[in-house]
Amino acid sequence: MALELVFIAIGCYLAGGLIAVATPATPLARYFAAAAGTVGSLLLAVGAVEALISPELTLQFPVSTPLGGFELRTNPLSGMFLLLTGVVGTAISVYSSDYVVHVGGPSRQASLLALLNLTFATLAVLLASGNALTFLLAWELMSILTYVLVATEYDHPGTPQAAFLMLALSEIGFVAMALGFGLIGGFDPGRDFAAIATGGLPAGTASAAFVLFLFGFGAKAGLLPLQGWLPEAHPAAPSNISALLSAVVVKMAIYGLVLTAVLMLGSPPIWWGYLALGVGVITAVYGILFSLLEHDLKRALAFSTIENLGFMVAMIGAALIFESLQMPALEALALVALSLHALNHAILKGGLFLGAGSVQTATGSRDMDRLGGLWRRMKWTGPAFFIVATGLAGVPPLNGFQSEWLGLMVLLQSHSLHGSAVRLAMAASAAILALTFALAVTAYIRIVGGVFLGAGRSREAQHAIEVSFTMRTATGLLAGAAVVLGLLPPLGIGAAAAAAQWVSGAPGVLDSVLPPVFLHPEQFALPVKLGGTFLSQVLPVNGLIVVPTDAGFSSIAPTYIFVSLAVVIAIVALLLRLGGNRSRQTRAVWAGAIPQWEPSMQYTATGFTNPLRFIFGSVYRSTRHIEGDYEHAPFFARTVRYRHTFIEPIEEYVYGPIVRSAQNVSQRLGIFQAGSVSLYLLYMFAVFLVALFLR
Amino acid sequence: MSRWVLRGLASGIKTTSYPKSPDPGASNAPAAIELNVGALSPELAIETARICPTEAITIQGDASTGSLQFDMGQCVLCGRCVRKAPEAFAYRRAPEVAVRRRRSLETTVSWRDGRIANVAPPNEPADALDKAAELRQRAHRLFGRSLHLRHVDAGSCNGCESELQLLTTPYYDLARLGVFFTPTPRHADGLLVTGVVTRQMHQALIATYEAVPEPKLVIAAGVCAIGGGCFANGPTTHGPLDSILPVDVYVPGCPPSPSALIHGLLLATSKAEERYRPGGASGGA
Amino acid sequence: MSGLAELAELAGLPYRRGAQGELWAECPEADFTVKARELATRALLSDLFACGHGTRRSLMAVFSTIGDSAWLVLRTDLSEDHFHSLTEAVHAASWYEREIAEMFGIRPEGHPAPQPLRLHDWPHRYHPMRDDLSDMKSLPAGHGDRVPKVRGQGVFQLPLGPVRSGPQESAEFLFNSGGEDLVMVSPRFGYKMRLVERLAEGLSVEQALIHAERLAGISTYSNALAFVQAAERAAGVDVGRDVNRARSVLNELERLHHHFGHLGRVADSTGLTVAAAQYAALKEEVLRACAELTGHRYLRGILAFGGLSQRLTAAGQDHLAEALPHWEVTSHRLEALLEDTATFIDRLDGTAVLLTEYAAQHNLLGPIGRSTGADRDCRRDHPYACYKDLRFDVLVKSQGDALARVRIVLFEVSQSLRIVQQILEDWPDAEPAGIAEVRGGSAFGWAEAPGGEALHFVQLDDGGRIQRWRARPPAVVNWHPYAHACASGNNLTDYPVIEASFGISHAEFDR
Repeated sequence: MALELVFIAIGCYLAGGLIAVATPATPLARYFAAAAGTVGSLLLAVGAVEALISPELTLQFPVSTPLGGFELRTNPLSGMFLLLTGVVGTAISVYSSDYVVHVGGPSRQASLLALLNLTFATLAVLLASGNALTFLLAWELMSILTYVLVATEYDHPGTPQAAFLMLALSEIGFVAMALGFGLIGGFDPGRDFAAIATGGLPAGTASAAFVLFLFGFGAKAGLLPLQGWLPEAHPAAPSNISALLSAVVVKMAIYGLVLTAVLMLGSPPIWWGYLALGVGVITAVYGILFSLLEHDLKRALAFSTIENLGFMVAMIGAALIFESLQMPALEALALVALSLHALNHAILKGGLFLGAGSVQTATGSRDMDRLGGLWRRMKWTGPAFFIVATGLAGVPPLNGFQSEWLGLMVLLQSHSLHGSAVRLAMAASAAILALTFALAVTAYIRIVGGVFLGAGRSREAQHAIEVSFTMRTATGLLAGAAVVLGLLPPLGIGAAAAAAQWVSGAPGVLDSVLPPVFLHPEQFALPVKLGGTFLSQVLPVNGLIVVPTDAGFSSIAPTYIFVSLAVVIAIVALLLRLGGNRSRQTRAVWAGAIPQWEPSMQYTATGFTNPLRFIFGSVYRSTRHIEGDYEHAPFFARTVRYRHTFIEPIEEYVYGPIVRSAQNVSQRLGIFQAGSVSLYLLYMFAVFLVALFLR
Repeated sequence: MSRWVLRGLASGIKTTSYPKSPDPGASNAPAAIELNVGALSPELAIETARICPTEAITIQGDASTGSLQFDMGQCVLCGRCVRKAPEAFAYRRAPEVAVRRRRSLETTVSWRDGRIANVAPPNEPADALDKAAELRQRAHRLFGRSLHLRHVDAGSCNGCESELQLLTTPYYDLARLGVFFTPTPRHADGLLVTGVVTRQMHQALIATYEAVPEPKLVIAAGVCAIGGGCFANGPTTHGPLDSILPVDVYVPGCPPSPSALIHGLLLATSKAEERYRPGGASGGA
Repeated sequence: MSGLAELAELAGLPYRRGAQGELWAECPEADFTVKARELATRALLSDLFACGHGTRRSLMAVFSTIGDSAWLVLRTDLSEDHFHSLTEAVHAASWYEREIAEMFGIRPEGHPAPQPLRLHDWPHRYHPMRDDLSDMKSLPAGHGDRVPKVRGQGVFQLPLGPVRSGPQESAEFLFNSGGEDLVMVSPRFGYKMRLVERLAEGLSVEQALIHAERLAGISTYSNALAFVQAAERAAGVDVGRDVNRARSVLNELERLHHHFGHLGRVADSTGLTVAAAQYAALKEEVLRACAELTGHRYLRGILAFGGLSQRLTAAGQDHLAEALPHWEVTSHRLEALLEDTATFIDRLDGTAVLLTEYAAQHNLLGPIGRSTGADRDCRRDHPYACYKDLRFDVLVKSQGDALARVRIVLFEVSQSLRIVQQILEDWPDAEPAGIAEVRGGSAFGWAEAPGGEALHFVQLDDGGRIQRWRARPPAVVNWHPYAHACASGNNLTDYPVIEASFGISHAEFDR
């Protein structure tokens, strides 16, 4: 059933693509193409739910190639990622119906829609692939398609280079990944995954494969040191593609890592876990530190994606550690946190990028220092953006908080482990991640405040107009999904638990994380004592309290937080209404009675995090230049110029030297390309001689 | 750091007992002028009007028939009239000189045929007195326990600010009386304005007044705010404060001493009574 | 021959002697700028102002030099409504010329930054010292321009004022910040301008004395003293030794209460509330002593044209004699404690540095000037009242930061106490002044106000009425380098400390 739905979904996507290119470029064609994509995504989501609850299904294609055959399958793990693809895909398709108009002319719009639908189809195939051949082909196709999509606006300066960087790093990753698959599959791409999972491998080969996979998938996920493409590609791409990249495409790397490292390479040594945990945590901190310094909205969001991806890889590391320590229950918990965060982040980051796209469409600018005051002018996008930003900042009771909290709880389980190295590693990671999440709150306060609050800092911001119905609705959809997931933990955790159970093999994961307090109150004394049976008559779920390990350690109930917040707000509103005469006086902003207040007299996003430049100065190596324009003496300066610079360590110390040495070497080798035909003939003759000699 | 604590403790308590009981040390400078009509003659009146530099003393008519008007709201306490006619113009050192009405600071002495005729008290219509009592009760109810004031310097010489700043220091300690200065008008119960209102500060003053939520008080501290003092007809003077805002309390002086300011603030919250009239009688008109 | 006389001759300027200690040199309009520049290379420009109405207008530049107690005045009659600016060569002339331009409508050509000084948001065609005052109130407002402008990614502004936080004077400071750092502070003054100079025109000296006293509040006496001395020198009145001694002790008492208040505010800005309270208590005690002595806490009403308006009371003298040792002990103790408080010293050390070379171009006065190495104190350099007979020292530092300024103020406090003690030992028996004989003339008068040298010029007509009064309190000069000091690498949180450590009066500047 699940696989059938996936097929139909792929069919819808292909139909949509065909409509886009085959019909004349009219608004109706646009809407049909987008609608096809929407329907396809919805079907994909439904199919995903089916995949989550049913056992593994496989389908082999009759087509055979020299490398092997094609195979598709669905299982709960792929179902989890199909779900997030479907949900976010729905929103992106709805958004794209009107958004593509702002990207270019009719032909560009058509190609954008067609390629988008084709990419969705490729993603579906990727997630449903059952052997290495299908997987790698789909992956390559996805890389190329996303490259073309990112380069849609190739006439903008910097876009082709950004897309190229993305492709280059993607290909480097692909080579590593393909080698990894080769190592574990005996260089037989046609062998299906199920067969590989059960086979034993010598330790050296397995470890080499693991490192290759971490590196290869890390390139697509944006792990250090291969994260360079993210901050470049996201601003360059049209916003619906940025959303696709951040929400869906990078999750494919997470899917791949879980598939290979956790699932197929069974019984890992503990250092795999340490490696993944370490790389993940450092990536997370790096991502958020640089997000705080960016004044380009989409670059800031891109760095935030790096942060979240780092967190997810850290969870994979935790899962590997628990797997190596033979603790399936905790491994499952780590996988629950991971899957849930993948879903949450996809929805939230998708919403953020779609919202950012709306902001850019409305104002023509991505520079947060020139925006502001959009809350009043964009009455739909504003609240939607606010909700998803709050979610991603990890503020309870929205969904982002649940997955981040679960992740920290996983790492805090170090107290039940033996061995000082592992306890130290996990505790340190928990501390650094806690710092990261705190900085993430700052980052989102800065983003929301800089873009939406206050007064518009430029004419564009002051005259912004809310975007069209479909664009608003798409962002609103994702915001709504975030609220629903936050309100009803059984939805998200249910899906994540299904995937985690299938991967880890631990029994009863869902019941352990979300105890069925409503069904069996007598078995859960502590949660019931804390009020865990509230709403048991109202909602058709088994329980609403999230308990990572046991109720004595920690538990949260986001639903109850929602309910109590609502009740408190209602009571306060009622009291205010009943509280008698309350006259309301509206006055101008108080600014010391200055004769003329200007919008430049507000904190900017850059100014908000200015102190961090000093606190983390050793990372940023920030410098400040102040110069006055004057003729006679500084005393008479009429203009002063102020400039802040900082470096990105990876760009500066890793990419820079590599690129420079590569250029150096190729310049040296350039002497062979003298341009003279006779020389080339000489080369050919020499090679001919050598070949003869070897023969 | 602990040495500062010890230093503070070793200094003992310096806070004045005013207003609970009089403190002559705090009020050793004149706070206002009181007319002793019995010692006044038309010639003396005309002479003192001539030497008064701020037209606090003005004459109508001539030595045979005319009147003298004394306005404490314009008097800068230069002391020239006191030195010229010490029996007629006497210093008042007791610091309770604040009043609620502008006219309460004025008094008129008229003469006919060279003889002093009468002293005209300020005219208080009957229902105005009731209304005044009503307002006083309301002020006491609203601000009696704590009064937060926003100060605005509308163009002063800084003397009034110096005295205001001393109110929060150990000798006077305004906080013990429940009065505080706030940095933002949003949290204020009223304005305390010093200085003649200059053209440049006019808009800022109005903006500040509008930023104070209702109900609000306005206190005019110092002669510049009340009548303009020596800047009354100045080229950049916009006008006396009560031509721009409704004033609840006037505190004369140049500058008014901290004790006088305390009396004015307590008067605003109806925790004190008016005690000064330029005509020399004490306790109301 | 005095130094200034030599200088005048070197510059080829014929001079005559005016009131005692003044050398007056005339030059034609075309030579004015050249001669002034030449003089400025070897002497200090103390003031530059315009005089006169209608077609009879003149410019006057006042110079002084180290080692000579006289003043050299370079005067020229103006027939045009412009002159060549001195500012490029003499930075100290900058704000004087801006004031001349906006008050009199006389343009300084070649001035690098001729924006308004005090008349912001003011109709540009109107010049208050020249035009008819009757239509001033009905004029519409103009538009102000804020200079300098700061450009950069993420730079924003924070307005402070004109209505600021506690009971403070009204002035506006526009901060440009990159977030936490203070890139530039653009002050805007003029909110408190009452135009005292114009108000006094046509009044008698006695009447104008009231205005001179109300030019400022905590430096009211020093400015009134400079004014009344100028009038007395213009009218040729000698007040006598006793009055001079009395005037000197009052000058020092004002310096004491001003400095105690200043130190209290500095301590408050660094969070030392106990020290702030202690200094405020000292200030109150000095004010009460002043009230006991003269009948006014701020010493208003004691000065009269020709002497004092009344005797200093015997009760006041006893009170002062009793209080003085207590003030000495307390201020000495507080100074020792402050020097020992690391948090206090650290916040002032290196904050708001005024570089010596920069400050030297602006001829700064008083404690602020002395913190940058400008060794000037007009009690010592141009002795007035009875300072020639008094013994006191002057402290000079060169770091130019807030700590240097505070240390100089602390030192001045000890010296003032020393001077008061000297006068107490030989208490003056000053009779109240009689009516001074009026006579026409013009002269300068000066006094060392708590903020530095206050220089006033008075021109009387034959009836003894004021034709022109020029007041140049020390704030007019000392605000020059404020923006520069703020921008010397400080943070927003340093700003209250910076402002408190300067402690310059706004009323003195706006007048």
